[in-house]
Amino acid sequence: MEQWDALVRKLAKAMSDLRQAVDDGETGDRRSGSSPLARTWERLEPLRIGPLKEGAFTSKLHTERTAAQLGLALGVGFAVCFVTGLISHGIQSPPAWFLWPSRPFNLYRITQGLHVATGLATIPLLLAKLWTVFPKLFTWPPVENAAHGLERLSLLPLVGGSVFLLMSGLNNIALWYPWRFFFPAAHFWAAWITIGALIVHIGAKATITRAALRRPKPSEITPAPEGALSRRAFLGAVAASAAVVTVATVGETFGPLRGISVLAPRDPAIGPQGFPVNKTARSAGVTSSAIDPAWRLRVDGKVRRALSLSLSDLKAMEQRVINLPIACVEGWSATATWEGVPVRALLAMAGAREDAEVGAESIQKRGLYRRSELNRLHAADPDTLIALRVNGEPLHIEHGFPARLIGPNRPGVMQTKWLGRLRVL
Amino acid sequence: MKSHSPSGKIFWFCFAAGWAVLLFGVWGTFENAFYTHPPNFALWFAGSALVHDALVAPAVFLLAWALVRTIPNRIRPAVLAGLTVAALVVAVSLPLVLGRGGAPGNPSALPRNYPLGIALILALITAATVAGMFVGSRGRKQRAPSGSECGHDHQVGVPEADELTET
Repeated sequence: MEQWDALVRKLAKAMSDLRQAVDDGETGDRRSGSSPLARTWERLEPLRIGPLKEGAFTSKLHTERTAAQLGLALGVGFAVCFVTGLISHGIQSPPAWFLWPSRPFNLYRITQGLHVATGLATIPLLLAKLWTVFPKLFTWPPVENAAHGLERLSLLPLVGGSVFLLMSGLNNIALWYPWRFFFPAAHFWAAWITIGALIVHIGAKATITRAALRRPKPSEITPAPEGALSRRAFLGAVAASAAVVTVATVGETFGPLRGISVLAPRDPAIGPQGFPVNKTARSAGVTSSAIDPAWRLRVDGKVRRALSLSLSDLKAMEQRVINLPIACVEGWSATATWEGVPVRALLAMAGAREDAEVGAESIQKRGLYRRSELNRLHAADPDTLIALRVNGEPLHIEHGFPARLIGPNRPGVMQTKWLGRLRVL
Repeated sequence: MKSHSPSGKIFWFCFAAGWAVLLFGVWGTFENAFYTHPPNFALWFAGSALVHDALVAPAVFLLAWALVRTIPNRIRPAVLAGLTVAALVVAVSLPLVLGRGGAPGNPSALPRNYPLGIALILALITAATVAGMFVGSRGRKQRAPSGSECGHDHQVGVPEADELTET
């Protein structure tokens, strides 16, 4: 009981100290040592051992200038990832005001390629930034006043979120899922948390960063000590790491570098019929239903006459040949030559409205991606096809035999394979 | 004593706006609990910060601290730069190189020999580092004769992390 009383008293004292510190606001540290909080830290001075000691970190690279330059690059990287990520999310779960166009046909390939490539290149930047500012974790006094405490508290979601986002994204393209959440949802919501924390961080560091980025006068420049790495050499090494990572992976979407991208999670030329597969027929559970001769493509919903078409019915229609990429959310992409019936021709045949939206459903029974939506722009685009052939051959079952959706400017997960039904909405 | 405290209108505006966005993210995480699995999400989210700050970073600093004094001054900058690049690239390659992920029955996923890939990259970095040693030591000789041993080794204290490298 006595211990409890003592603890409660201590807590009450700490609370009143904190309240006093809040009241003092910024004046507290100007009259250094006079606020109760400052006096508390002075009393705790003997606890300053190890990394908490003044000068425990001796490298001359732990400077505001290094942190500001890395931070700026990191900020650009996070902004690119956030915007391209929002685009990708918007396409897949569009809010009412968001209408993703079907042109330019390559746009999603670029935004998503950029999302993944930027995220990968940002990993070395983040680790270097965290290394640079690591001594600040042991800042003394740990909390100067309310603003300082709140700012430091906001660093937890910033550091946790930044590492989480880059690590989970990296794991996702390596198809390694040691966790229980569904990656796209966790990655999306973690991004909001992280960007929020980043906004706080930018507000806290704007002044320091601007001052640190100013070109120093010659008198302010100190050469790196003998045997130490200069700031420029350090930043050069970090930039080189980002460049190596990029060259080693970007061939998964940028064909000319395919040969030297030794760490690419995909090779755009490896797979059945010369390009990669994401969902296999076996994992979708369609190995027998896809080759069943009774297979039909139904066109129904808001139509004047519902259609039920066999593979030979579709083959008998006028075919269109078009080069389009499969652009995966995981950042790889591969162009193929597709041959099939334009969706708009089927919609016209069924007597659907010209500005109809369409739900494309797979014959696979389960799975989050068994169904995708064609907004009115995609449904009406003459290059949005029910593809029956690719690269001069009938579709391989892994690529969606007997028929799959392929259209310009769409994520790969929305190029529904093993189509069974077009439902006009 | 230098103040670390942020202040001013810009800070408080960004603080309010940032936490609004952040809490939107927290709300969305719970709103989509079926997919985000909040307890597991929180574990990995907080774990990301903890594992970095409590394990990875201290390990890097201690390793660098131990390593730095074994490298002669003359070639140290080149070696440190090389180690930095190597460590950062290895960090990115780990999920691929460890080979724990993959899609069974899909040979088009992860089609490369990633250990070989990272070995090739490390060989390149080593070659560049060796080249950098010669350039660096020659440049230094021309500029000025090396004076005393530099001041890294004076201070005793743990963790006295004086040079870099990340893993």
